[in-house]
Amino acid sequence: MDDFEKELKAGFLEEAAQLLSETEQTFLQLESNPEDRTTVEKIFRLAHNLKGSANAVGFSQLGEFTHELESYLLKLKDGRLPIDRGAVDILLRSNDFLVSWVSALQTNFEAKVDFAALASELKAQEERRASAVDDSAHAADAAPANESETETEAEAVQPQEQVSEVPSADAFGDESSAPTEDPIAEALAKATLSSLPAPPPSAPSAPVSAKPASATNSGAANAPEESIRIGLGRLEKLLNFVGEMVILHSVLNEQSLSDDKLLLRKTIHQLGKVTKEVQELSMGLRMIPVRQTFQKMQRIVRDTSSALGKQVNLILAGEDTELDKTVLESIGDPLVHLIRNAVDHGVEGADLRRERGKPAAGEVRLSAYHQSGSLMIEIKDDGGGLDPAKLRAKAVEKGIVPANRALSDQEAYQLIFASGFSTKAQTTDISGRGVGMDVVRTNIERLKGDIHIETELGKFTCFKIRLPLTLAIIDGMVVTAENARYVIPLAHVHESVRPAKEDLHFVTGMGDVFSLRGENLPLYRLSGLLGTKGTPRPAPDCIAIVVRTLKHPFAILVDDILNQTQVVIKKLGAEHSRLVGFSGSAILGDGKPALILELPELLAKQNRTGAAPRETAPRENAPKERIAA
Amino acid sequence: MSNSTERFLLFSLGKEDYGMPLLTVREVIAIPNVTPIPHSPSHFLGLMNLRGQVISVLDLRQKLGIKPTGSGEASVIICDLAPLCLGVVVDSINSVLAPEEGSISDPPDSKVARNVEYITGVCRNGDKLVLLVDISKALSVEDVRAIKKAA
Repeated sequence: MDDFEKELKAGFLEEAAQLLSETEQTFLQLESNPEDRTTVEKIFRLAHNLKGSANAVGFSQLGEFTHELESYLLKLKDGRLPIDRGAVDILLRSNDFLVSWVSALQTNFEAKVDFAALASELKAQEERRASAVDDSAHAADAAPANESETETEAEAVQPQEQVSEVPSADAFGDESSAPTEDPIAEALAKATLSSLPAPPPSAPSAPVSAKPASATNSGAANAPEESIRIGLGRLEKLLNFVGEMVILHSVLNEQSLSDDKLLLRKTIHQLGKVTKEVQELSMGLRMIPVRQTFQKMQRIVRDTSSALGKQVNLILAGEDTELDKTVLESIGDPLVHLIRNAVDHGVEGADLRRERGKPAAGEVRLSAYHQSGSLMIEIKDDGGGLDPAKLRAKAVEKGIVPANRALSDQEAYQLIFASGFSTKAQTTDISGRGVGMDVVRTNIERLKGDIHIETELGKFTCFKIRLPLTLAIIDGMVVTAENARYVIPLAHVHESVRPAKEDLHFVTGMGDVFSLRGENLPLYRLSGLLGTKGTPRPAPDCIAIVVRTLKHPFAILVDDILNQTQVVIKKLGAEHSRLVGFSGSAILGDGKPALILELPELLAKQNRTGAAPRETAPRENAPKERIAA
Repeated sequence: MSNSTERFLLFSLGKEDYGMPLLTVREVIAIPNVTPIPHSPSHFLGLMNLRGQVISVLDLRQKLGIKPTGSGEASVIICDLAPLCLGVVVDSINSVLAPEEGSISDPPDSKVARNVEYITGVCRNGDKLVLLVDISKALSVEDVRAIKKAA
């Protein structure tokens, strides 16, 4: 395969992956609004495109399968088959199948996939249902768009019939017994089938309504702006050059101050404005709206709620809020987990809801908004809330908390993030293994965000996630130690104090201690942490930076604080892969690079290896200080 | 290695002549201001800003244990060794050499030599001997271990 062909294929797959994520949305729309022919046509067009390009770049297998899918869609489009939950189910499964197929192809162009089972199922659906079309079509016609109770009933019956017709269990047997040699195919088949919605629950499960119709309409009204794809690498290069431009401008600006040519100075001033504009624009290029990630959650709610036999509506808000692409990508999994939890643990069963006087259909609200330079994501369910007493009891039982320890309510809520903690008595497929929430919190903390719980027993639970808008830029404090400059992320800095001589103490076995308003904090010298030699500045000429974001508060002694600034994080090259204590580097205002300190790492390293130097180093300094005092 | 079209950038380390494949050279610059990196081996001079890109600068002379000439001609060769991009300090940049086919011989199999895996070949240039080096090997033979130790 030559490079051109490879590129072609890779390009196709990337496009296909995006197309598929779009189609999933349209399928869900279709379910909530089967009368809307334009949606069917849109899906048909998407499938047709996929088929065409798959064949064009030489994925003939993919082409064959999408052909089957297309002919099924054609019947739906022409009204020869009814559009109902059963139809949407198989479309969604085909979509899942295609998604995993495409991702398999992305890792290996030669990946073969056994699609016969699903394809024949599609065919079977076509034929069996074609006979029933008169009936169902009639029912669909009769049912008004806004659901009445009778329709819900009709729908409840229908899927049951269909599923009993569809030999899904057989298909599974066939596929696993079929002599598939390809492990990918087998894994795929399993993946597809395990994501099958469970057999229809006894309670009628109404379709999960997608976002309000008005939102769909307004979305369609303002036609999407045309867009092009740009590789992240090129974007990064652009950002680098823009950053350089900003620095050059400031140099130029400084030079012009000593010049009395008015026009020159005016032009440079003008250039500065334009440069700033360009910088802001280019920084914004990494930001993408949360819409796509949010919309994926509809599918999660749909599958989870129908597997549990609950009625749950997902309401989205603030989908246009923008977030850095890398942050958004890493928040997807935690969100899925929280949403599943909200549907499973949060929203109560129908009986209990009735008892509590709540509407039968539960509600999960997923919203995003900006708040003081951060992005907030809220997942709120109108379920039973968290019971602090119950949580406490459970934690004691599991040995996570000693029995005699008193916990505040907020502390009790935080318990759900402890690993191995799950209050649901029964472990289900959906959730309840208690391994997820600690991962959720770790992931969020890795993104330099935090998660907070608000809840009221019997009323609601709300998870509030705070995330930085971007990982590429941080607010930093530029400090010096031994004439070298370092950047400390401002998020870590609680306060900075100029310590008095009498506040610094040395305790043998503990090292330096800083007394701050009656509190004794362990004190580390930055130069000591970094292993640079030299005589540290005496007490009143240095600055202690207090850090409270980590488990234990501590203070770092630096020579001076230069300024506070926003810096663009540049990753260190692979040659520094073993270097710990630095999260990257940043180019400061004068164009010279400085290292960004990763304090937790630096401290952990110190405590691991540096026990000895930490004991000896202060001892040398201690007498001096005492003399100075 | 016998590919006659391959060209080499020749440079000096101390009094010795070395060459590296021209294709790995992005550009040559004067010694820039660098920001030192704590806990790094001594031949890691520090970080520099090359038009918005932060690049590590390493001293090949220190790495190989060669005494610098101090001629004031020292330069930094920016090498593109995907995925790495490094600045390498050398004593001076001499010329570009396109050795004739067959004029490159294997490195001498010396019993006293240690750690010379980075020398890929030897070639004559006039009356001088040019050692052709694999920069990534020359710099990373011990580096990873050294950094590990430092960490």
